[in-house]
Amino acid sequence: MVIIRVLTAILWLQTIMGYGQSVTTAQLVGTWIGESVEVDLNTVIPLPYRLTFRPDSSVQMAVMANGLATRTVRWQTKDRAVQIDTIKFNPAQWTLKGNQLLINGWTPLRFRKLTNVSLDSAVVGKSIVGHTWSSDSLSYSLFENGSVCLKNEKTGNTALHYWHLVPVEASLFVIIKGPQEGEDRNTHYPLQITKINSNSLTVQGWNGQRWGDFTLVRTGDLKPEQRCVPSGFQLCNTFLVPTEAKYMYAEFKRGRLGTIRRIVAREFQPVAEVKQSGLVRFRFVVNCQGKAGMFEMLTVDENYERCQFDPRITNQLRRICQEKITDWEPGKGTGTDKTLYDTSCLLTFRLKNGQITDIFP
Amino acid sequence: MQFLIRLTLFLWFAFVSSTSQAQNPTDWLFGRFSELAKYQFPSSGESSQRAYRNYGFQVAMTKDSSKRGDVLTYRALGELKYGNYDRAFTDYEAAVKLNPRLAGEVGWRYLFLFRDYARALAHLQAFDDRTPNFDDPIDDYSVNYLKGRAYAGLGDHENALKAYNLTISQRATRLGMEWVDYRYLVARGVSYLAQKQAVEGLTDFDMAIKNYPKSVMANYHRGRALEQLGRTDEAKTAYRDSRFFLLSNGSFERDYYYEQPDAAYEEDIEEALARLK
Repeated sequence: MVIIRVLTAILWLQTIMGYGQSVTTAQLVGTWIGESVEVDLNTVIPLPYRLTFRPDSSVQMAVMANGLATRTVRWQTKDRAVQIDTIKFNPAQWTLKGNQLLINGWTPLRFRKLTNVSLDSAVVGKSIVGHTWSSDSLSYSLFENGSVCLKNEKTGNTALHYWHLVPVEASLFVIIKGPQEGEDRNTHYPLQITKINSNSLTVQGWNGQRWGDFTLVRTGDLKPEQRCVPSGFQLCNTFLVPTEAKYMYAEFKRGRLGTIRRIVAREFQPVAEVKQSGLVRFRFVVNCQGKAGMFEMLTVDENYERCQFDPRITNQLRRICQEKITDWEPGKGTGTDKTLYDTSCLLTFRLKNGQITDIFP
Repeated sequence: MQFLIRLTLFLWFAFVSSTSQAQNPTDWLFGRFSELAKYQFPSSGESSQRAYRNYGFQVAMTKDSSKRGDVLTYRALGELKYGNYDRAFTDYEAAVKLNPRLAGEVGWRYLFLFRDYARALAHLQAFDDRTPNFDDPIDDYSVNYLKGRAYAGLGDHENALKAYNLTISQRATRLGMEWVDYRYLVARGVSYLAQKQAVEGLTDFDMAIKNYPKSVMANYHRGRALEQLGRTDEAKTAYRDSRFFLLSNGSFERDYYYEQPDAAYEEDIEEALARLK
């Protein structure tokens, strides 16, 4: 038992500590572009900042945006530990792996060292605007009015955002921001333009799954009167972390669960030959406009073992949840915070011998 | 006068200091650096994959079996809140084996958050058997109230009434009837109605309203009792009272995580009023 505990502890320490080497002063000097914030295992969100460490012991911190104030403070490394202003990190908390900087801790931050690729902002801007640029999974339609249409080629969903070209030293970054309501939030992963010609564009950065070089091919030209028309389910918080956006108590406007039960009683047709029992659980997101999407289903039997339910039951329930129970109330902040948020909701059906016996959030 | 000058100066300084704290766009990153320096180990909120793994580690590293049980219930609740019933169930069952004292809490979860009345009852009974003749508290409920709810969920109102009687009489004897939780009285009243004992039900709803006059569900079920007794005009008034409190409160009875099992909804009330027109 003791041996198991010791081995578990060693494995544990390995997974929570960085694998790289501690940083030295010489290694830190230069500009680092924010890559990601690790909010959970296998879940990251963008980190739209840059850090420029100078040999004169000053570090400039800036948001990846045009015209915003920066902050310059002192920095030093001592005994393998980094100090920024008065903030003293622990030895080995900052580690390097290739050109990636990992700052370990509560929510690990990752930065990449900037490799400058000199490009002329005016020339690049003129070349990319008014066209659609596509990869296998995503296409970007860059409009002259600063809006950008992102189309997911797999789902067909189209979302409206805003774009800017942000120069950092001699390099240029495409910065995409904002949900459709406004461009002040939800900055995407910065994309550094590394190569451009009339028909293709190479960018370096995160595509949501991995960091690397991505080639975008020019697949269309936009007409001056053309506008982005969003389609499909839209998140207000583009980088929603569903486990952090739980709203355990699903708000359904008029009549709450009473109404939901009535709708289900009206719409659900039991299938005589299906005698299965257990739970069918739908997890979905109610966005800040009160629309539901991103449905996921879990089915378990009476002993809570995962199982397959007859599709004649689950398809009906899915259709009822997606098409009939539609009058959701968006999640609100608590206390004085009246902001409306995207929230993760649950609706569970308990079945006994193919009949619904209970519905609960 | 001096006081007024001092007050004016104080307010002016307060105003200036509050407006001069202009936010820098990099505040978020700077603040995050402070947090990272303070909290060196990665962690994520409940229901996250990381929390699941961290709790697992904590269980493996804890010697005391009752504490291991406690940790498993924390993990189970995080999973339950995210709808992972399979994981939550496994942890709850393991927790009770490690620490039988947790049977009450686990029964509570099965009752309200799994709606698994049979399992809830088994765990609540096991918990209750540890201290016979004592109506043990479980969070802010009593074990007999929860047992009553589980029986009622199984459609066994006869046993539900026995359990409700135990908890209500013990509380009334100890503290007085005015200190009995109105939800207990409504629950017993609803079981009386199910047993076609409208007179007894009405007594409970009257007492529930005395203890919490604005209760939507107590007024609604009182209307049902009066309707069963053929006292139509009084039933209409009770239903209207129920509607009034629903609209004026802007809400109905619910716990943070679930609606009260006896909650009354607008459509129920409207339907009842239409029926009595």
